[in-house]
Amino acid sequence: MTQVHGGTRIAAANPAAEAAGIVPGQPLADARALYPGLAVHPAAPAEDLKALDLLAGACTRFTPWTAVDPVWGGGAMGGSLGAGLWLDITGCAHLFGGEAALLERLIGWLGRQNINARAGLADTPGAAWALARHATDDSVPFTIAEPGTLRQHLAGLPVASLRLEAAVVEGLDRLGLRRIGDLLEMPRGPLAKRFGGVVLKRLDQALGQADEPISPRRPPPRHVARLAFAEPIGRAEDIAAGLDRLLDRLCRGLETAGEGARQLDFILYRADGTTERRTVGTSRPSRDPRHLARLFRDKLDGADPGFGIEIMALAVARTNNLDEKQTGLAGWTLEPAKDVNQADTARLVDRLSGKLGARNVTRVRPVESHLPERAGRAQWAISTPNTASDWKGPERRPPRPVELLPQPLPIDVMAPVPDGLPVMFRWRRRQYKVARAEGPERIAPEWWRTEGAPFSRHVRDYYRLEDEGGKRYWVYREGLYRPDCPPDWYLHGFFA
Amino acid sequence: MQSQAVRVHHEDPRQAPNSAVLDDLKTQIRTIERGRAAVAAEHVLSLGDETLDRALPWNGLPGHGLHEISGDAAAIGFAAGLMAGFGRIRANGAVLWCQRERALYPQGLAAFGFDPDRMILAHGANDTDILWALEEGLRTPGLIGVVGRISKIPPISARRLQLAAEESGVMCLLLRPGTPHAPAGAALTRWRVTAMPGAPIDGPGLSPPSWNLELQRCRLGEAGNDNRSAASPTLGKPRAWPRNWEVEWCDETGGLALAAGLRDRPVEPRPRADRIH
Repeated sequence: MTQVHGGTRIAAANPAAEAAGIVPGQPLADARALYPGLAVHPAAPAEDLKALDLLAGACTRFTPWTAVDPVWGGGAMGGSLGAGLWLDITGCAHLFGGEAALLERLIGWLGRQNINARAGLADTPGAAWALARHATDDSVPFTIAEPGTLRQHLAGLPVASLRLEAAVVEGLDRLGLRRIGDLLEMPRGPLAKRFGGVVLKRLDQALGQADEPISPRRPPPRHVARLAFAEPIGRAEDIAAGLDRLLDRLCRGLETAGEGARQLDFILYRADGTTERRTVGTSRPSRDPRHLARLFRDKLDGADPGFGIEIMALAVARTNNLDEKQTGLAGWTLEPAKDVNQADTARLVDRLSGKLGARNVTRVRPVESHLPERAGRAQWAISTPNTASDWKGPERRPPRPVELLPQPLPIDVMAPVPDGLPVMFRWRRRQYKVARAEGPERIAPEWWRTEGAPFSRHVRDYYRLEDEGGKRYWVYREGLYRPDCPPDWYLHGFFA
Repeated sequence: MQSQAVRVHHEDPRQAPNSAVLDDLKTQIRTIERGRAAVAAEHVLSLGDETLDRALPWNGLPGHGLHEISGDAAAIGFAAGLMAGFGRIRANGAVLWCQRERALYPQGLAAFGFDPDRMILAHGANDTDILWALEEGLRTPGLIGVVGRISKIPPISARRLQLAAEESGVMCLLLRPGTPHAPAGAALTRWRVTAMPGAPIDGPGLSPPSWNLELQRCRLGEAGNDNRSAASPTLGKPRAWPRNWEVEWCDETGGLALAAGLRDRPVEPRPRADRIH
């Protein structure tokens, strides 16, 4: 049920309710009068859309191009038109043995999941919409309009199948225009004058005289390969073997296109209608099946085949240009050794990033900052090219520690003179006698930056301290010396 | 371990093998091991000082194996210096550095000649991940080396790392924080690096990093070409480990220099150590 025009109306009804005479659009009071024991639930269009989106994702087993029909058939469309999905099966039908076979499998597959579906197939989205809703019934679950027979198919359908609002349909009905065929015979001028452009627009869209762009749920990948199994498979070795075959095919396509994959999606369609998706990325475009297979192998460890996998598909989500490389002739390597090295390293980065997570595999880049904790930035190695940068720092800068604590640790320091060199410090309940010290190196806060850790707000005086054993520490005093309050000292790093 | 098999023919297993057979076997083993050392000769890194290099049977540190270094921050500096040395030998390539902690500071490593641009830093959540990453790195021939900081290592994993390093010629350094509980038996060499009070210098400030370098174990150690051992009566027996040196990091040579003689002397220009590449 849903709230429309100040009254509670039926939004959708199941077959049993329809058998009792309850139809969508009916006021709830009327429905209750027909069948007092009616079970009602509030309509949840948002949840319905979410479910439709999932279904559209699962339908990518038939075509990579799927979309949810944004025209929600609830109230405005005046009735039981139901929700819809768009599937563009251009170039996919032959994989299933023809259009009819594809639709049969689609309906059958949905039926096994208790989804009562109807389908229409035509040259235009508008016509397909009309056929699916008005040229089918329980005995004929789908209708196909062969190319060139659009007009014949549409002529007999009611005008409501043109995706018109209820008020417009009513107006046309009053003029005696009940079938699309009636509209086709009418002169266009008066129709436009009477009903605005919408009727003609929908008519043209259905006949393919006007364009109707529909955005797919995900942009369809340019390179995709799929493999269907007669019997669902479940063994890990079978999955790996299937993946190898898909990769071989896909990489041949990439080579023809002169492209390399940066990101690949491997989708497993299980027998129970659920899907499992694995994504891998590469730091350099690649079309080496062996390398890509190794990347996936790490990812497939946790893949659960469930009741078996019916179909597997591999799609390239992102590509970069990758030119032909002459790799060598009779043992001669034409590429410079450096390139080979870099390609090997890039593959290593891909594998590490795939297994450990891209954020855990980094390269560091210097940042121009005097603050030690800001002077290097970790970047994901998978998306960072190897470049040369300057790590020397300013001339005559005091040395830096080999280990820098992410968070400076507070310590107690004793200095004979308030702002002199420390002679002793205490850290983790142990006393360290300072044998030698060097400093201070004064590092001022970056006042132009407002964010950042609170410990970066004050001037810091850094000292290098050597204890009696020869271990060296980097400590700093926070803030300028003030006679009235004892200074705070922190341990920030260790020297080799 | 070694593909060549050493065959011993005994007519009677109960009979004790005579010394001639034993000597023959020893010679065979030495030839095999020498052969292996010789193959890697072009990938041997001089530590910067002849005394140090001569203590190792390869006349330096070979890049084709697993080396274990225990110690704290000093061990990190030593490892960075070694990787920098190999970076100079192999003009390009990256260093894979794997550890759990996120405290490594590239600017500090750069002080040991290490180029942070060449470093790929991998943070593993546990030792298993780190060992996996190390082995992946060792199977990538383009790398200069891999460095892994790991507290516990099963013997079989150490063996795998050593074999992978031997095969690809990528150097593997295992950093063991503190005193390792169970040292990696498969390592070619085992070092312990501890900080040491620096040499006195004129004026304020600190001297270059000074370490006590302890060679705790070295495979093929008895095959070393150290003259002292050749003259000693314990020929044929493993030399007594550990061996100790007091060294300083030398910025000019990018290697180590013996510090022992300098300790109590006034500061004077240090003789440059000959480097063998």
